[in-house]
Amino acid sequence: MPVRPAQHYSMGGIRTNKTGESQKLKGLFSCGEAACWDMHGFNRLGGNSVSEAVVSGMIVGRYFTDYCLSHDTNIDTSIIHDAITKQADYIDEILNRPEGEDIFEIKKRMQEIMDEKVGIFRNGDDLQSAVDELQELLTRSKKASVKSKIKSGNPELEEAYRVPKMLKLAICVAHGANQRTESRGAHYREDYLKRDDANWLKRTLTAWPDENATLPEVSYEEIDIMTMELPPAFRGYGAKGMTIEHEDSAKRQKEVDEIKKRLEKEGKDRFEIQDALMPYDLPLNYKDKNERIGVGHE
Amino acid sequence: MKIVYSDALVIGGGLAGLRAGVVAQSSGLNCIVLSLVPVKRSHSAAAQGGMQASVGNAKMSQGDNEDLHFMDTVKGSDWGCDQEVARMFVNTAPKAIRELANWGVPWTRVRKGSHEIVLDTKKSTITESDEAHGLITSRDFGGTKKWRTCYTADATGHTMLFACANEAIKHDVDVRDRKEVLSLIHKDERCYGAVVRDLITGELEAYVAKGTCISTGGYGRLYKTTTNAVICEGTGQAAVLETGVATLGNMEAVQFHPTPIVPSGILLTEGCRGDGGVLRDIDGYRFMPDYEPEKKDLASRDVVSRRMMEHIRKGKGVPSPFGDHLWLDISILGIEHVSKNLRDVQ
Amino acid sequence: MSNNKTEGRALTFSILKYNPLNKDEKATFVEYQVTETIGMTVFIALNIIRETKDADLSFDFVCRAGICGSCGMVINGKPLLACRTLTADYPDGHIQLMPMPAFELIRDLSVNTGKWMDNMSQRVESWIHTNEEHDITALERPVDPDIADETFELDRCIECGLCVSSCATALMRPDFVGPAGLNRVARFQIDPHDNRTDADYYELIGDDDGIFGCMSLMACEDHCPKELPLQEKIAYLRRKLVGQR
Repeated sequence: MPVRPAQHYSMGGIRTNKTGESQKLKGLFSCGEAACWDMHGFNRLGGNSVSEAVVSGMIVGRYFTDYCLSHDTNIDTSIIHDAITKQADYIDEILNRPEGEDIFEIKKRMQEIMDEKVGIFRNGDDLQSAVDELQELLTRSKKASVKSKIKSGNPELEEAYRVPKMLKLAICVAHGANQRTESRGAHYREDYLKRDDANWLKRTLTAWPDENATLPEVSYEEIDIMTMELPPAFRGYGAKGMTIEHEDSAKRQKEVDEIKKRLEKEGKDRFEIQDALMPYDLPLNYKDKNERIGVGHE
Repeated sequence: MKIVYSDALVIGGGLAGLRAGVVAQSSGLNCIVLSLVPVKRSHSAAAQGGMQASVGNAKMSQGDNEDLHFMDTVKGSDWGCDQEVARMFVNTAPKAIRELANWGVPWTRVRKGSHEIVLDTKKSTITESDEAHGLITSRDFGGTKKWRTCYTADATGHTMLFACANEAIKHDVDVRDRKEVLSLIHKDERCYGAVVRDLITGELEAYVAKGTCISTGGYGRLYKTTTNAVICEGTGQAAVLETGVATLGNMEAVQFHPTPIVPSGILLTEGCRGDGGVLRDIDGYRFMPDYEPEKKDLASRDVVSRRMMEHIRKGKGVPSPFGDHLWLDISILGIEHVSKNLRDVQ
Repeated sequence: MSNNKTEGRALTFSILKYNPLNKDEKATFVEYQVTETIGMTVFIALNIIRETKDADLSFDFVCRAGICGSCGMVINGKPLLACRTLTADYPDGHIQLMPMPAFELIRDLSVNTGKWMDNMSQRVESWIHTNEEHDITALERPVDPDIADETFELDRCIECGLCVSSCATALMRPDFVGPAGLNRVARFQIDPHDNRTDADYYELIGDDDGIFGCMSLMACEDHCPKELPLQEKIAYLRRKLVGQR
């Protein structure tokens, strides 16, 4: 059968903390592929997607439920009205635009740019030109007109309000990829072939505070090696020596090895050793041991 | 102006959202789940190949446990993941599999006795124990130390989605489809729900809740060639981004799957390679062992995808009106295996 | 990929357009010309029509791969999934599209199969009924591999509605549970996790809107895109439940 690689999965998404709650907006949770809960980092293993969907639905769903059980909806109705009015005005504004850009053309061009310049092999020149052109498309998309003026149904109207949103996301992808001058997992830079733990062991965070801007605000969240159970090492693919090491990696590895050795000597089991290396919490009975044939709950 | 109040609002009715909705509703909350499409049509259904969980029942999965699943996940992520989250995940995954069995997912089961399998293009025989007979079996997938992927033939996502959707119906979760989120309602760094458009009537409604959970899937449709369903346009992430307050993480982390069909982009499940299928070039030559001598065709997805494109760039692709491609050869698996376990591939 | 020869043909699509929300509008067939490409499906053609000729045309798609069951429609008189239907299979190049009957029309080719299937799921209580508590930290309960496979076979229904729209009983009796509903009962009846008895199932579907409504015309099985053994299962259920009368 004829095959060729194509886009498949979004590791990135709504950034949350471990309970699945947004780091910036209380009461907003996210789970499944939509979220960047971050169990996939820069590449997801096959079979871990539906697995995450259900498991995060269980865990985040629980924390989410706890939040709803302990909070009220004390919000001024004027805020709700303003939020609806803003969207209603926006829809009206789209419907009343004079004849202008074709939204299907803009969408198609965005998708071509993403395939050609923000795909499997990436480099600074292509990414910069992708960011530039996507910004232009975003500006143009706000002049897209729709032929049918009815509010119900109307697939073209849907495209007209969706595509500008999609363009913002596309800019976040391309801009983030352009800034990240290393290769890690599925993000592969032909001009920066090495995984750079010294400078890039961090998550890209994007926000869009100015609604008229054409670029997001980018910040970074450091990933602390010294709290890792499994410090960065060779991944097992391609040639060795393709990593710019972080000084903490060896330090933490030594620490991990010592803790393991000591606890093994003391006769601790794998759960106790794990807990000493990197304790974590789970709701309900999810932290309990799982039974397997031949070994019971060990 | 229509305002709908609830305790818990879930936006996105795929596997994750439905599962979260079941938690909320069965905890005594009044939970509304909104979905772009009837929930059983969600993109979760397209996950054909399977679900990773270290149940360790089958012969080739013996010795598997949370620790190995954790290591595979962290290595797979190229150390980009949150290791605590990975731990939370691997410890819960076997429970999720078993819960879903109780909810009616007809997981493919271990069959005692000898079976022929294909390992590295060679046929060999394994023998399953009497003890494991009838327990949940697993198949091989890329980037894993053990055979860890539990499955229902080639429709795993479908059976999981239907089980969760049915459970949601049982618990009276208020599921409303053909609804699209346009924006989130928020003030002083707290979210209070969403402004939603009814895709049939075009009416705008405010859904106000104590908490809001977004589970709208990925943003694959930013790309031209993608395995994603047409609804995966990132509307949930966009609503969050447009709050101007909340952040998105690692948006540049986008995975490319090695084996979508040319030209439709429809996915051939990883089960094809997991069960023994191999990649071949224009000369019929199996090229992956040259690049990745150890994991070969079952290296991590990002690695296989890059090696394939590298090989095509070397001029070893097969020309077609839709651009150069390679071949996925599953002839070695035999017609019986394909028609049972990889049916949609035919 | 059998259709290289038909590439470049001029196809004529005749599509029934109607918006029930617009009271002044009458249902009319509208014709569109599309140039055929290699491997073109009705799904691809409809998208070309929407993007280049009629931005207002409504139809449903999600997965485009025959998995989600969204795109059932009547194509030249037969209910089919548009994403699995090749234009090359129509030698005269004329393709007529209508919405599936038996479902509430949303607009043009879009019908509310989701609502129908939800009602069906409530009606047959399409979930596992059990009093047993299974500890999810313990080993799962073993299931005979053949029984698991058999349950899976019937669990493959994607609720596309093709069976319902081709069923004479469903068209005459709006409350008929349909082949999809009867198949669902058969599925839970096999599943060892479900403790319901034949008497329980009789309560649910032991009438003319249920198992005894089927006239055995077999159109459901002919049109099922998943090739489910609907007739065999319906006949089996009928034999079982007739004893409960």
